[in-house]
Amino acid sequence: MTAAAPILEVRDLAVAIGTRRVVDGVGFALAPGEVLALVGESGCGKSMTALALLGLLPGAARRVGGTIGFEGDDLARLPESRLRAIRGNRISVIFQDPSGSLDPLMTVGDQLAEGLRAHRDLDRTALRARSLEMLAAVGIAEPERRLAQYPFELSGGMCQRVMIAIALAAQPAVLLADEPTTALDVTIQAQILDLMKDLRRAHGTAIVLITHDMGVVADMADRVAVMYAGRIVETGRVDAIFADPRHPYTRLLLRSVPRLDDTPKTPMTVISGSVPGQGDWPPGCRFAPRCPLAEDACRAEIPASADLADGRRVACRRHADDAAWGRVA
Amino acid sequence: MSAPAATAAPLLEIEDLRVHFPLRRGLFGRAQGAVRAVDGVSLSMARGETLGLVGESGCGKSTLGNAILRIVEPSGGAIRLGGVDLARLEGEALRAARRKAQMVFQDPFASLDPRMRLGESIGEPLLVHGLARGAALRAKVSDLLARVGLQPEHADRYPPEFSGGQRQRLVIARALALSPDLVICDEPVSALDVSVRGQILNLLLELQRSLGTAFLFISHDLSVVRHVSDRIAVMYLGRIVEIAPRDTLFARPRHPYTQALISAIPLPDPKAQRARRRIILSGEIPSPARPPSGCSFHTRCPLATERCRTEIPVLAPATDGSQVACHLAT
Repeated sequence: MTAAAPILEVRDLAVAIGTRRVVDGVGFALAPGEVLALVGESGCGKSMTALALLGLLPGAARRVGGTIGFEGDDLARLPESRLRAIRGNRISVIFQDPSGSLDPLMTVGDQLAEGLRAHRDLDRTALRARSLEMLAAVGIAEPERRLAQYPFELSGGMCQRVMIAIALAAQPAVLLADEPTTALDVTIQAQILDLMKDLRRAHGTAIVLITHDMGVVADMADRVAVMYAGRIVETGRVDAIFADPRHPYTRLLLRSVPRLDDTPKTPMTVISGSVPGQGDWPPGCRFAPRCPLAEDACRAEIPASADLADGRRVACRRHADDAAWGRVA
Repeated sequence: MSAPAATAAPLLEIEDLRVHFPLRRGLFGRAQGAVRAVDGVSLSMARGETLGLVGESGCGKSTLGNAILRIVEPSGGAIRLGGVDLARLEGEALRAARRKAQMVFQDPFASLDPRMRLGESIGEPLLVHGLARGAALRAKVSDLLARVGLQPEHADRYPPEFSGGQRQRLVIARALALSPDLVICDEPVSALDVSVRGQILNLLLELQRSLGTAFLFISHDLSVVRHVSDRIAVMYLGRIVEIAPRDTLFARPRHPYTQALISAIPLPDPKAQRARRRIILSGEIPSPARPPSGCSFHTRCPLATERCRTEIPVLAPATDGSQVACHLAT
C-alpha cells in the first residue's frame, strides 16, 4: 500500500435492488496516481460499485450503506448538484457503451471544449488546437471533420474514443473506467491504454479500472481487487495476486484465460457452474458451490478477511491450506 | 490431433475470392465505387483442420466467412468445397452442396427462434433436407444434445429458458445435425463470460477430435485463435497479409501488421507484460471504401518505404511453410 493519503476511500459500500444486496460491504482506498483493477465475472457487482460512487445507479438500484471519501467530502452524503459538479471534472467516467454518455445534441467539438474549459482558461484557438490533439491521441483520423460532427454521425468505436478523449481532457483526479477498451480492436486498445498511463504519469490521476481481461490488468494495475457475488474476496498488489493467488476464485479466474504460452488444443481450465443471480447469494462463502476446496464450514458462515504479510487481504477459510491447493487447478 | 498431411486433396479451396459492395448515393443513385470487403483472397483447408482467421473490425473476415457459404454473394472467384465450386451453383444444387458446411455465429440469442422448441430448431435441418423424421429424428436430436453436453429432455423447452453458454451449445448442435465437413465459427465465444468461454472452446476441440470436422475459426482474439488453430491467416483491409502454421506465426511473425497485432495482446503476466517491447501503431484502420494505394497497411506501418506506397505486395511462400504479403519481409 502506498504511504500517501488516499484520494478516494470507499468503506462498507452496499447497493440493493429491492431487498437483494447486489454490492455487499465493498471497501478500498486509492492513492493519487494509483491504478486499482476491479475484476470478476459479469454479475459480481463491479459496475454497480463504480456507478454507486458517483450516484449514477440505474433503475431500482439504491445505495443502502457506506461512505465514499473524496477530497474531504463524503460523496454518499452530497446533494446531486454538488455531485454533478464533480462528475466529468474531478472524477471522470468511461463506460463500455458510449451511447448514454455523449450528448446527442452537441457536436463532438463542443463536448470536448466543455471538459477542457473546466480546467484552464483557453481562448478559442487554443481550445481548438487542444481538442484536435485529444482526438488524434485516441486514434481518430480526420479530427478536423469530427469536431463539427454529432455523435450519430460516428461509428460506435469512434464514439467510444470520443468519450475517452472527453474523460481524459478534464485531467481528473480520479478516472472510473468500466471496460473502457473491451469493444475496441486490440491495436486501438494498446493506444488507449498508453494514453491512460500518460494521464496518470502527467497529472497523477488515480484510476479504478474495471475489466475482465487479465492481460489489461497485468499491463495497467498496481493493485487488484477480485469481486465475487457482491463482495471483494481478495485484494493485493498485482504481482502477488498473479504469482500466488490465495483465493480459489482468483486462481481459477487466472487459469481459465488462454495464454500465449499454454499448450494449444488441450482442455482449458474452467470454473464449473456460473455466478448466482444478482443478490441471490448462497449462504456462507458465496463461492462455495463452485469451489473445489469447499467443506461444510465454508457453507456455514461468510469467511472473515485475513491480512497476509504482503499487504494482501483474502476472504477464504482455506487460504493457507497449501496441501489442498493442488486441487484448485 | 496433428494437422493432416498437406498432400491429401484439400477440403476447401478458395481462389481469388472477391466481395465488393457497391457504394450508392441517394435513393436511386448510381454506384460510386465499391467497398472492397474481400479483395482477392486465396487459401485452402485440409479435412479435419482448424484454420484461424484473425484481423480487426472491417478487415473482411466475417464477410469472407459469409461468402464461403454464399450468405453474401461473391463478386468473383472460386469456392471449391470437396471439389465442387459453390460460387457456380444455384438453387437446389447449391442447397445440397451447402449441407457440407455450416455456420456458428457470435450471438446465440439471435441465432435461435425463441418460439421454436429446441428439438424443432435442432431437427429442422434434418427435416428440411429429408434426412430423418418421426422417431429417427427424435433419436438423432437426443444424440446431438448429448454430444454438446445437454440433456435429451431439453428438446421440449424454449430458448429463453437457457443461458448464453447453453444456447451456444444448442447452436453448435444444430450446426452439427447434417454431419458437415466444415463448420465456420464467427466469433463463437466473444459474447461469453470467461468461465463459459473455456467450456465452449473445450467442447469444440472435443467435437473435432471425435467427428473430424474442419473449423474455420474467425475471431479478433489472437489468444483464443492460437489455442484452437493448426494454421492462422491474418487479414487486413480485405486481403490476407500472412498465413502460417500456428507455432511459426507466433515464433516468427513476418508481416509488420502481424508483429504489431501479437505485440498488442496484453499478456496476463505483470512482469512479462511490463518488460516487453511493444509496437504501438498510430492512427486508425482506413475505410475499405477508400483503401490506401500500394500496400494497404503502409499508412500505419512503421517500416513503410516508397515502394510500399505504390506497389501492392502479393502473398508469397517462405521456406518455413508460411506465406506473407510484404515487400520487406525476409
